[in-house]
Amino acid sequence: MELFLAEIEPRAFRMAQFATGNRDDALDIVQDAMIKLVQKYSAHEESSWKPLFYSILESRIMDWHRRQQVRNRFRSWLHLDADDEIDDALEQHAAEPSYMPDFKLQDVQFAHSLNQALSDLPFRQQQVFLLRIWEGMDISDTAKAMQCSESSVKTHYARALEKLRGALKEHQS
Amino acid sequence: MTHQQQTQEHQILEERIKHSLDTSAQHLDANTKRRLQEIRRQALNQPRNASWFKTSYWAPAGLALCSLFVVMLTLPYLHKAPTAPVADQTAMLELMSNPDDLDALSDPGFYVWMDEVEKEKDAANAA
Repeated sequence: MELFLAEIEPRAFRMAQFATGNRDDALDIVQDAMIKLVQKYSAHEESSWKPLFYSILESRIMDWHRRQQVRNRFRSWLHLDADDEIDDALEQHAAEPSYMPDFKLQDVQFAHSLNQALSDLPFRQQQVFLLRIWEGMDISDTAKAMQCSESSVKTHYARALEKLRGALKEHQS
Repeated sequence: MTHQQQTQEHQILEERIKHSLDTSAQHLDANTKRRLQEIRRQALNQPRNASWFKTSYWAPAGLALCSLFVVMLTLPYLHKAPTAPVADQTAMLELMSNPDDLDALSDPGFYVWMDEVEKEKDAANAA
């Protein structure tokens, strides 16, 4: 279990970060998902851990989105200013490429555009795309993790790829 | 653009995206890496559900309970049902095997009496 978690944690964190746009919230979501996997599913077969983990992660992200919606509604009722939050998010995005000092400029620019394009994708398209391309999960496991049909996985993936292709057009030589 | 060219272009794009994502995950800042390690350690220290609690054990246990329930429900009827007919048959055999009672069998009044007894029995059962 430890090896599995160590191997999966950086990608899980980045996925949660793409979905929330916030480092601390992403860490909290990964923590919840890891704890639930260990508590409830340690005795399950090792091959089932990955779809189970991402299924938990996905539901935690959905919970986060619901909470955010309620919070935003309260904010709009109370006429609170969201400028501070936007500044924080911009700082986080701006800080991301600094941990890649050895990268060529074009790779850094590509990473910037990719981050933006992935963050702009609808949540389910984003998660399906990342599970398929990054985690290398097959259609069946992705459908289990996302709790949807296999045909939905194919549709989400195709749409996400098409949007990313459009958004990253200028980087394609 | 042909279908083959389009597929090839998609593959190149997918590879580049994957490479970029891998790099971003490998180069997480030290703070985030440390926090992730703490989170992993904390998760691994959580109490785990015992293996007997696995879902696969519930099916045979449920089946055994259902069987027990069915047996408990049917057992009293299995014992009670044959009691009445067997008792009647025994009484009849006793009557026919006794030579004194053979005279009674040839008496028409006996059958009138039997008929009345049967009617009384039916009336009692109906009530």
